[in-house]
Amino acid sequence: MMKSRFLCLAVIFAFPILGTAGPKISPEERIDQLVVKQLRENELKPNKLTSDEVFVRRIYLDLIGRIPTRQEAVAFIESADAEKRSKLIDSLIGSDGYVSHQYNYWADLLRARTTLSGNGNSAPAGYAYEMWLKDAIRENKPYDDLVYELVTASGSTWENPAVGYYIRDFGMPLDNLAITSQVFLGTQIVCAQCHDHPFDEWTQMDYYHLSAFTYPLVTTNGHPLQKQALNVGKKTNRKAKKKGKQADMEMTSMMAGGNDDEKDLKKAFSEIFFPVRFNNVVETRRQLRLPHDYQYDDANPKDKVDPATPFGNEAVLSGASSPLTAFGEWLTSSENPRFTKVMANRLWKKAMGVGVIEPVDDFKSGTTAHNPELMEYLEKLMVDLDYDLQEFQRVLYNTKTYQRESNLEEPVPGAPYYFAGPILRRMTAEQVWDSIVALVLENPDEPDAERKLLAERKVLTVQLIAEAIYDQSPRQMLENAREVSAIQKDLSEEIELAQQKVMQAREEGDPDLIRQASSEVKEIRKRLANLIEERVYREGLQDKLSEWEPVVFANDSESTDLSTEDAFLTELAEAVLQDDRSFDEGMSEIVGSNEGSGIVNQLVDAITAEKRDALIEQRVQNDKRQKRKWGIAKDKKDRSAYRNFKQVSKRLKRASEINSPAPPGHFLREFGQSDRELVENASDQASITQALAMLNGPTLGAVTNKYSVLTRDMKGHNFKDRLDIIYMSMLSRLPTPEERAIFRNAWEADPESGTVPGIVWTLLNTRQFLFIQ
Amino acid sequence: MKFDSESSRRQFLSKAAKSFLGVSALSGLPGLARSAGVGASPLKQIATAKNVIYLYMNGGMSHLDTFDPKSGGECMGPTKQVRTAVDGMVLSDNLPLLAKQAEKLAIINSMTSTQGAHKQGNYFMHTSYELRSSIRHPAMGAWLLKFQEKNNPTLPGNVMIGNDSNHPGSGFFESSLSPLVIQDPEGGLQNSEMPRGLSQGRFDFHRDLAQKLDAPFVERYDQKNVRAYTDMYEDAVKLMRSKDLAAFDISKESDAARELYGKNSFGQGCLLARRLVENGVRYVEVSLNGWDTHNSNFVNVPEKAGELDVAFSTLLKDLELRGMLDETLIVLATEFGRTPEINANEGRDHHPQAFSCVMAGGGIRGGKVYGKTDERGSKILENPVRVQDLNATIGYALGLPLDQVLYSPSMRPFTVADKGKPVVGLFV
Repeated sequence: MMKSRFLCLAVIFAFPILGTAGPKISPEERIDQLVVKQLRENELKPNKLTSDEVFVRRIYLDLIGRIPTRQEAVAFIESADAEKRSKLIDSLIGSDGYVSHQYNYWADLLRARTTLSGNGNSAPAGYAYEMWLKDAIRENKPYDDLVYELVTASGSTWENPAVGYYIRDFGMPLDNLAITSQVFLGTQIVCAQCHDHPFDEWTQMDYYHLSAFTYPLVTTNGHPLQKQALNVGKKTNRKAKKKGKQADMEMTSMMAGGNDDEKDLKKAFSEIFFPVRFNNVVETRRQLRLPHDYQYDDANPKDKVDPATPFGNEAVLSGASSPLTAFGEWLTSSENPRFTKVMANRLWKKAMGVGVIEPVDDFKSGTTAHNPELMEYLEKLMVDLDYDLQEFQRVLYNTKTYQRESNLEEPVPGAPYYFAGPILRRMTAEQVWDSIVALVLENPDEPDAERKLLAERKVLTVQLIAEAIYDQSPRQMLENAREVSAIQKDLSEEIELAQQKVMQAREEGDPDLIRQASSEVKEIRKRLANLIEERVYREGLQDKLSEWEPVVFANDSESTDLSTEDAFLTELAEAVLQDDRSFDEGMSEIVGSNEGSGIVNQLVDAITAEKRDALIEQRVQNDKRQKRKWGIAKDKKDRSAYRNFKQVSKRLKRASEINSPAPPGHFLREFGQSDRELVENASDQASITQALAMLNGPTLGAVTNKYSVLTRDMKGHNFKDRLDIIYMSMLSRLPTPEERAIFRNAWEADPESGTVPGIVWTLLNTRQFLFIQ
Repeated sequence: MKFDSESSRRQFLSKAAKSFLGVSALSGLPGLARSAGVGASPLKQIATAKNVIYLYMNGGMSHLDTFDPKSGGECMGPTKQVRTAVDGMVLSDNLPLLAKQAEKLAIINSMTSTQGAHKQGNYFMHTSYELRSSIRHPAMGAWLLKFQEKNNPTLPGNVMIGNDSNHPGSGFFESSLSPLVIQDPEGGLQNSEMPRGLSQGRFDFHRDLAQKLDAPFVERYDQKNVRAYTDMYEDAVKLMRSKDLAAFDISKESDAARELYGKNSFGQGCLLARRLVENGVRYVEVSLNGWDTHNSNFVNVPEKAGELDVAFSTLLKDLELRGMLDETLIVLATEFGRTPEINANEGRDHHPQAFSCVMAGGGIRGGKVYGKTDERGSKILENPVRVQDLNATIGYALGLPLDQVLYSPSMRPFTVADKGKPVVGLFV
């Protein structure tokens, strides 16, 4: 981190805020003052403060992305501590659940996908990026640092996972810049890519000036080894020619390749580097030029464009700094007129449901906040807090403004909203899903260690392949390229034949033939990849594998030593291990699809063996503990119910631990999870398929499973208490007298309707469950 | 707003025209339809189509590599022209099957949009209005249901098959008009059967209970999205009990039929679209993602176009054989085209200035190319068609009152297709 900071937290308390005289007040009080002042000016009143019941549900959902468990809700409601709200906020901010929930927010903002750029090869970069973002949230990386690291990221996935920011827009530097501007500056300049912005002051020239900062970054492969190898090739070719004699020529040509066709070699390189595509961002010196049809008088088409900033201070391009670091400094500077404002406004919107400025990502030259004093204060607060997002949110969630009852009327689009309270919001898709998870699983916030390991393995796989390539000398590389080229030539006839078939099938217009022919082409390509792996990577990886092999065996013998356990435990372990075999298979299946050869997988297995064994061991222990605790012994029914529960649990991972975006048709997608195509593309709109999912989907079965948190929670309670328990678990409150009466009448009419699944199903299908009051 | 008879519709139209921002709409669009020989003003057109299948090419389909290929030159890369069954009409070699049914296609090669970004362009194409923060505009399917009845009371009138998480849907109209989204056509309509062990009586009993419990909440928060859930639950139950529910289940089709449409999400989506329209769904959108070919245009477009070619050509034949093509308008649309220039990544960038859309069936006279671009597909030479005009043409085919002003809750006036002019020449 190269940025310097001048302000610190103390400043806030050392000076009276915004020059107001009188006693010092806290930031929370100041915000409330500014809100109430404007409400009064508009002859409006702030809403009442919420009840504890409404608050506890809302704050859990807003800070850790799920409803509170019954125990959590009761503990809060029954506490007599006068400071209990701020204490609860303190305990939630920075927790595991917070990381999960914030990650969902960032994934929507940054369009973070697991297959990062949409191509399967970009999955390792996607996993690495996900883990990096989660770590950044966990360690509370200051916002300006976070953004700086994203926009200045270069290197390889395994060295600097933040390169995911650029790999997301693989090969699209100009579009990436438009996203940067929208996300971090709240400014939509994409129109200006082709012409001056029709509704704003942006010119096409501004766009190109700004793009020129990040244009030197190249996401496509350009490893210097290729060039070096080519140069070696040229040298040997020249030498061979100098010698002149025909016999010698032939000799050299046989030994060293002789007259290489540069085109062939390049083709071979691109094949060799294929598995490590989508993993490198290289800072080059390439320079941006205006488009060929540039239509304005201030420059000519195809002129070179120098980096320059459109507003705020000039970016400092001293000799020492690259355009990229200059851009990062300018973008994330507290002097930048939009950088701080955009994030302060976004987080305000996240808490209250509406931004002080709307929309949050389309600031224009004339854009002003309806409450400018409030906006200005929030901005200053963000700077004073040194971009500490946790501290900033701590302030927001501690304000009375946030803790008031939500507004009865919905905000009118385009009209100012004065924040008498937050607005009523439908839960995000992730909040609905994670709330269901919390009704079923213990420790619902715990990060998924398996996913983490899977990510490590993915990244390790490409890293190993990359090293096997990069470690080669230029000469070796040349040899390999020649060999690959030869293989390519061998196969080229076959490919050509297959391609001809495709063409012919197309001409004949027979879809069957077309399909068949194209799958043939794919098959040949696969064979090519395997041959390359065999020739090119094996050597480099073989050495490494020999270093690791002993470790594998040592570990294996330890972890499978179960001889001391009694018969039941052995059986149990076997059952679990069997389960884990599929876990292993699942993993190698995924890793295997990553263009990795057998040897790469072996090596990855060896390197991660210890962690994997520990994970399996942990699973076995957890299982034992659970079974003991829940009294599952030999009863067949219990065991089959337990197995069923394990199946359900596997599917019920937190939203942040599921591939992003979830596959089409997944509960998360039905409820509006972003498809990650566009910035903030999540939706909270109602749909028939959501209603169907709640009415008929597997949710009910999961929540009322014999071993779900909710069902187990019923144990030891009188049957009469079931309504109270379910209400507190799902709505964080007890039923009102009217609700009790409704149920009483219902049960009188139909005594069998009072079962636990009956009540749970009923509440799952209320609107109260889906909305955050 | 529903019309029982032609006369009440006319009455409404004349009223609507008077309120049309003080300008007479009737005088604003003089003689267009008359000159086209339809014998009616576009404001009083008789519907030529009952249903729409709207194929949306998400990401910006390259017009040069599909429906507007040039005879050669740098702009074409490896893409070539193929001749079609219609004299003078050429398609790219990526669409060999469609070329054989060219007599059914009306290709508009002079589409132009003002929006060069995906979100904005997609929204514009679906709604005819530019994306604004202050309002959400309805998409065409919602406009159709606003003006006309559903054909099947128990199935939704509007279905979208695809993945777009932010379809404009019903905009400021009631959410019951928004499309039911089927993300995976093979999965069909998930969760349409009651949970096992629950009788219909018990199901209704609990639903009634949920309604009663929710009453105070619903009354307290009388907001659009809360009301929307009330509607959606009602529609969901209606749908569950529809005798036509099997319309969503493409496994009921023969394997041969499923193969013919192409065993991919788009192909199966087109097959589902046909089943739905057959069962009275009036507006079905099927989207095909992956057209944003900034990289490797000449690898990616053939792949996408291959899926499109197989599915679209099968759909045309299938509808024709079933006698449904005349009443079903097929529209192929996209947010913009792509540049004639091929960039450093062998790709093409966004090009809203000129691109192609296609119409077929539903009263459209096929075998026609409308509009023309220059020799590089860069600029429009004749008959530009704006996004509003394309949507007006859809509205025209459906017999929607193009000039009727409807007001948003914030009392702003809007019309279907935002005063676009229908391309009536496509109908004769």
